[in-house]
Amino acid sequence: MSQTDISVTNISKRYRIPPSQADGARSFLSSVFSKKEIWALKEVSFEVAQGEALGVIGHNGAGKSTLVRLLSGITVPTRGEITIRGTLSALVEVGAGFNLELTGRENVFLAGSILGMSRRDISRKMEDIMEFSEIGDQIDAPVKTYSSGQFLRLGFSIAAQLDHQIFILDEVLAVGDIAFQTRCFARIERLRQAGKTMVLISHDLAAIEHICDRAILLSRGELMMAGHPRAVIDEYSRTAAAPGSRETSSVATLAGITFEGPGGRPVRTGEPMVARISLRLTAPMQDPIITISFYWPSGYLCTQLTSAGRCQDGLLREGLVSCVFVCPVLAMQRGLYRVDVSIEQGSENAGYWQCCSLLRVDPGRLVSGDFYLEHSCEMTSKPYNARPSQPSNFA
Amino acid sequence: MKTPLTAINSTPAAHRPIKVIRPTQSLIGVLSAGLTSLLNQRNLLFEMTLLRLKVRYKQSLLGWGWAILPPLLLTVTFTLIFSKVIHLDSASLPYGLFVFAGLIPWTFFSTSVSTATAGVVSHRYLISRVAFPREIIPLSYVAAALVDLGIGILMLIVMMFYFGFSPTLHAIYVIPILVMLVICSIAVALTCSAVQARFRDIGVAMPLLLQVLMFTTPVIYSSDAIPDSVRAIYFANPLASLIEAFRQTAVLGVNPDASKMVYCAMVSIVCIIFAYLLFKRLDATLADVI
Repeated sequence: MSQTDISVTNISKRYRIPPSQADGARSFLSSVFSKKEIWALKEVSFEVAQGEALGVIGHNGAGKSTLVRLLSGITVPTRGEITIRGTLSALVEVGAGFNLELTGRENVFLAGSILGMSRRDISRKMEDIMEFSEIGDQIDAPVKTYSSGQFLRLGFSIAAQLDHQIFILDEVLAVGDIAFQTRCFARIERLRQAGKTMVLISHDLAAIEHICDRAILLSRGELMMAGHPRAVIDEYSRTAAAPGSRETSSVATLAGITFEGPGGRPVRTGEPMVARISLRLTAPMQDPIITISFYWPSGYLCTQLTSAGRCQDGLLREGLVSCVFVCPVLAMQRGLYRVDVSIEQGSENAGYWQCCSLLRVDPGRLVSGDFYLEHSCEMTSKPYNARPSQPSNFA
Repeated sequence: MKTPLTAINSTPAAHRPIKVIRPTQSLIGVLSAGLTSLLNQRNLLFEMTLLRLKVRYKQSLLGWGWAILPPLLLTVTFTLIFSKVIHLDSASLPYGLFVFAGLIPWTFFSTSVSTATAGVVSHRYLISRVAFPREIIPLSYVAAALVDLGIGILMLIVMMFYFGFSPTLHAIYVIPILVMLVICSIAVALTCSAVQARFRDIGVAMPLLLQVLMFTTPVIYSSDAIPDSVRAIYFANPLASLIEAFRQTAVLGVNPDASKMVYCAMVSIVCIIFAYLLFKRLDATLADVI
């Protein structure tokens, strides 16, 4: 039985928000006597064992960021107690300590010392930092001349050098381009192999499923579930579709949405997929257009399924409406996609359900790249004849 | 790509310090934990002070000239007003030298306090994202002002020779006086910056408060002019004794008044302990309110 590195016992965190911060001038009296209370975390308890990677999932406002701030010691809980065994570093927007007037190199020393490194440590690791961040010669230019990507990469590269025992990673995977993210993943993988304890907070559910041993689900400050990442993500996607998820419609309610592969099996790349939506209409609709949008974890739109131009139903009567999309070959790669559903009438938006479900695509036909291209292939061979080859244009 | 794998060593037997995060901690706990972390991150104090000095005069034409110019300009102005227009008693010293010797410690105090107070709030972004001993921010402003104080003392020595005064061996007493001045400045800087994070009133009132304080300490006039009936109240403010003692010791080589210095030392120590505990208490939830 390995030891517990992080033990969180019944922590609650209350924030007091002055009622009319928007009014600008907040007087002493109004801010002391009439503050709105918000419990960002309520009685949350969990443990992380040494060498374990814990994923934290939840919607915006579920309390993830508050948890990070408490674990990293930025602020203290209102109630409860956190015990941390080992040196901890939180990789949260590490460019925070940068001063724009200083050069990259000077900022490395500054940010490194904020993270608790000594001057000698930093000098020794300067090479690695420059290499990891790909800043190159610009290291001696003021950071105000950097691109936002360079800025973030340099910040993360400094933090990546830390040799601590526990790491808190908050949305660090959202930093930089694909190539940089790949390197971050490799770095995390190495930290895992080195037996580091890790808490990973990310909207990238696929990353959590891939990296973590265990996950917890937070919702409105409460711990809803703890367990195997896959089970927790499934629960998350179920609660995402539950009432309370952001929906805006007066004429329609989303009754259900399912995705399935052939014979009710899980959805796989390169195989057929059927998407079913059922809607409850309270008023008839003329020529509605139903669209399902799939988003990457990064928030970019991946693709859509739409009834526009494919469905000449004309009038939909009130009651339960079912809409079935059939994809003969699924081109989407393995991963978890956020699903939005919308219904339009004419050019008017009659209903929009953001983040109402998740589509999990399992690996099927394996190709690398952004999507799977349905293809066939034939190979033929001709007997070799000794005719001299034609002059090539490519020479 | 060369892998920085060497940076990761997995030694399960490595020492794992235990840290407990609780809503409130005992005063002794705050003091010992705070001082330990401050000591561990003294490198950060150095880097942040360096940052203040590097950034301060960047993109300015006069550059480091700004470290010399303000006290000189003030000295000239005060000399013109108070020795030519209105005559002020300057304790048998040339008024220019008299006022400069008062402005040096005063400028150190007022710069420390006002920059530290504004500085903590301007580091809002850093404070709400990274955990580190936050007292380093106000301390770094005081340390940067200390460099100016050093420059000022060098200028004072030049000026003394110009006016025909040479430093005596008694000037060694300047050192404990300056130590007490630094401690008082740190105490006020810590208190003001922590309160400013909650109530911005401090920052608004700061120029006014500093002005009042300057006129109630013997910076531009000699304390000989203070009537006996209010002397006790006047010298209850340790700054008054320290600034006067600095001038007398540095320029005239007069030994400072022992009872006043003992009083100043006690007040400094009480203030610094109180200020540090207050800062740490407010610091716990600083990120939530700043």
